[in-house]
Amino acid sequence: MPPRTLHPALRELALTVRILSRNPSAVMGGTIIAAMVFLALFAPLLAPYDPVRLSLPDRLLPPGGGHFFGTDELGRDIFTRVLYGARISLSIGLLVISVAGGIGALIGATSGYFGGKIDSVVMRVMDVILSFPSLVLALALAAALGPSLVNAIFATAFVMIPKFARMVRGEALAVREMPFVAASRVAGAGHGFIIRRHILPNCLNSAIVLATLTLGDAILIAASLSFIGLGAQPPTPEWGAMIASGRKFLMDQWWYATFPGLFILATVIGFNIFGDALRDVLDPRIRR
Amino acid sequence: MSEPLLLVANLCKAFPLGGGFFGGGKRLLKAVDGVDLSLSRGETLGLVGESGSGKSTVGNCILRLLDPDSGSIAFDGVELAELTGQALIKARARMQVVFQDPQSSLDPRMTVGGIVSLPLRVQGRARGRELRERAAAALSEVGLGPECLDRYPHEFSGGQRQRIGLARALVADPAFVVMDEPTSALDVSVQAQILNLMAGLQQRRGHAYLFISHDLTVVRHVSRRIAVMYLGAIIETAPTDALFTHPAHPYTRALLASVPLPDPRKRRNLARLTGDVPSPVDLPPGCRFHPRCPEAMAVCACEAPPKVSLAAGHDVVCHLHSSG
Amino acid sequence: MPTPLLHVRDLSVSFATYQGRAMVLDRASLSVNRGEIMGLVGETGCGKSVLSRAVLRIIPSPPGRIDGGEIVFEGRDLLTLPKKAMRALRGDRISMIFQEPMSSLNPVYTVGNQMREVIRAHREVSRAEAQAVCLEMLEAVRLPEPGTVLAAYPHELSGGMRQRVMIAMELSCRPALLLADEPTTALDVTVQGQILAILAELSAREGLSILLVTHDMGVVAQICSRVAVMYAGQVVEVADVESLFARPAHPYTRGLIASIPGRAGEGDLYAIPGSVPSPIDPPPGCRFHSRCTQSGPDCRRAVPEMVLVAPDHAVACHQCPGGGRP
Repeated sequence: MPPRTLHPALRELALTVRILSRNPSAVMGGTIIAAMVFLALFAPLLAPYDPVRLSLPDRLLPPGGGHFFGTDELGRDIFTRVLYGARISLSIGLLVISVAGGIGALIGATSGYFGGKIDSVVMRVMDVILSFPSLVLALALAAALGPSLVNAIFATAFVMIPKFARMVRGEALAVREMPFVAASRVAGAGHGFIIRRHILPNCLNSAIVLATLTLGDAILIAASLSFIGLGAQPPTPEWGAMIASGRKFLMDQWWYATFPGLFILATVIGFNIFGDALRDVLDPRIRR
Repeated sequence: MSEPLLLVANLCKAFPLGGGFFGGGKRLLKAVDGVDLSLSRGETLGLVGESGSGKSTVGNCILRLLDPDSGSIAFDGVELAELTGQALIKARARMQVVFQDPQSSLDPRMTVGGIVSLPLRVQGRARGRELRERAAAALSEVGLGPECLDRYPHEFSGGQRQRIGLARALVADPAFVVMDEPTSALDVSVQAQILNLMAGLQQRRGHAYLFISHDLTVVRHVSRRIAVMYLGAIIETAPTDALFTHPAHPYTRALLASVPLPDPRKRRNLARLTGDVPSPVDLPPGCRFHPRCPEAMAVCACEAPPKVSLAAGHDVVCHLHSSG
Repeated sequence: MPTPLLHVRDLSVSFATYQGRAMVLDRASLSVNRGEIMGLVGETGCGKSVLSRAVLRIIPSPPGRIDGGEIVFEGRDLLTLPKKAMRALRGDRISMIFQEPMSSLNPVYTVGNQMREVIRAHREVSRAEAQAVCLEMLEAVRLPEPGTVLAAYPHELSGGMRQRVMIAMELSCRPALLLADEPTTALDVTVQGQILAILAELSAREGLSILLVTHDMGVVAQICSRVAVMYAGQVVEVADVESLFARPAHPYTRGLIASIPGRAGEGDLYAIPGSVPSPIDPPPGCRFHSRCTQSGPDCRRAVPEMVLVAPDHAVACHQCPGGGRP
């Protein structure tokens, strides 16, 4: 038992962490994520070179010597750029998920709580958004807004909103039938209070799981947009953009596109297996 | 006697079934079909029935968790049935509810302090420190210490959770509490604790209880008057002693006879009735109990029985007792 | 005394939880004689359902684990039986019915389909013979129009009918022992009466032994011949039903009987103080001592053994005359 003096919410968190630490896939996914976060946070200390300074004499060097992952066509160190890229990709992922999760949860909770006509209309709109392949929709939106990293983030967030809205709505439908909601209504609580204090907090676990699972997707979509040229612009060391410029050299200089690709892969896998484990652990039936 | 605290007259509530999307072939489930009730201050009225009898729907209509289709609900002189919005919230401020399932009636994401003080908070009657103090006071009335304030519901046993539910119900000092099967999910030894606690609270605070239950022995213990429901209607109302000594309706008699007495020397035939409670969707014509009634007569199948008063406060809806 | 049909001896079962290993059954012993209805009562979490499931070896494992003891049925220890022999036994010699009949019936097959399946899994019979057995069994549980019921899907039946179908299905191979785990808890009281009457009649007429797991002392008093009372994973008292209600020996049994409403009339009910201890770190000695009004120093130190206080009346309590240590 953790000490009673801790804030109750912290005690819950400590329990979750303890249970997670006994789950092998949570540990594996968590380690990958932690490694990525570590690399991103300490990129300036870890990286041997400047991510954007050109050094034409060193162009397209293979891995080895002073360059772990080799260099690109402008002589920049790929290892350095991949580390800085972790900063960008993780920030993009977090931003996208916070925006999409926040808006989606609010839409879903409101729609599910009130039900009826509001719910039908809102959910049909969400269905329409979901019926497009998310990459294609994000692409169209980013193209319409003009190529920039901010617009790519916005476009990615937009296509992710329905996922959160649908999930939270499903939960809200169940939560609003719970006797504790009825008890609050009898006590005189208004709709806003119930949505804020009952519905949203009780959807939190599922939203966190979904956020973890889709964070990988968000990074992937944002990277894809950059790959096409609609996201991060040169010389920003974004993974997708790096793959795009490395594509031309794939035949002879395999390292250029491969290392950023491996990092995208590792990040997405890390978040996915961690999310899966989190889903199991946060399941109240198992937790008790 | 002064006017009753709660007076329910001709309450009806039906739920549309199936058909759904295109409205075709809609059928009605008549959950509550013309219910009259009255409750004085400080009194406990037991409302007994089997599943599908509509007893919980009556409670939910009185609390206006459901909107009744018709009928009147006068609480403390105010007609609730038509109120909405702020007026409803204000009129309902002196009502409270305790539900059956101690698990789902407390928000797992709130601390016990937050749960118990919630009525005061949403009614704007206290804030900050005072909320905490009054929650602690309410908890101590139900036998829980202030150390519980910062804990979450899942850290408590079923009986303790039901105590928390009681604390939430009494914190805003209600005049009337709907007890919707408050001990049905509890073990018998814990049930006894909760029933004693409820009785003590009522004595000190003078709450009126509508005690809804399927368990006749529990209702007998807590109520002075009992109303028996069958398929959406009250078929017999009587003072507790009269109901147990002279049950008038064949259904009440069968219900009493089906209770397994905890005494091996008093074994009896428990199978007094055949069949299950029918669905309230297609109510039988005439008396709704006649297909299962061991004493059914020809008239029962075609004519709805009248309400007959047998003694003061003892009413029964049955052809057996209608004179002539 | 004749050898009992089922003898559970010193059975221990534990479950892995996030908080640690929960000792759900701690050296529990009881027996069921031929043709009797044995009641197994206790409150939520006392281990009564786990005990009945352990007899059929249907405890999910992990997290559950049988840590020791033996379950002797018709002369064989079920815990050492090969899996295949155990499977053959289930539904044939020993059957089980549960609280919620709907979850034990497959919603996509008709009742007849499922009943015949059970019969033909254990008996080499033709479809027509199986059908005849089904009809006979449904009549035995007093289902009107058995033919219609056989053709129906589970959701078309009411709760009471489903429980009757389950009983008919589980008894179709004429088992010697029926494990009934809270068979009437989900049912209305008037329907409960019908089901209890059927169980009592089947036991009397066919010589069927029933282990009836319940929390309801009323049900026990009405149809059981002997009773075992469980508390926190241990069997604390075993007696014939008359003695148990007339002279309950264990303080817990006395509290349990006294807390039933409607016996003493008005006034406060007797309530056992406190709540059931956690099975993860149970108190040493007698598990009831912290809630017991009569506990002495012995109770905190040693687990009391079961001793006979009268013929066919055993109790595990240090404070009972002659109780506690052998």
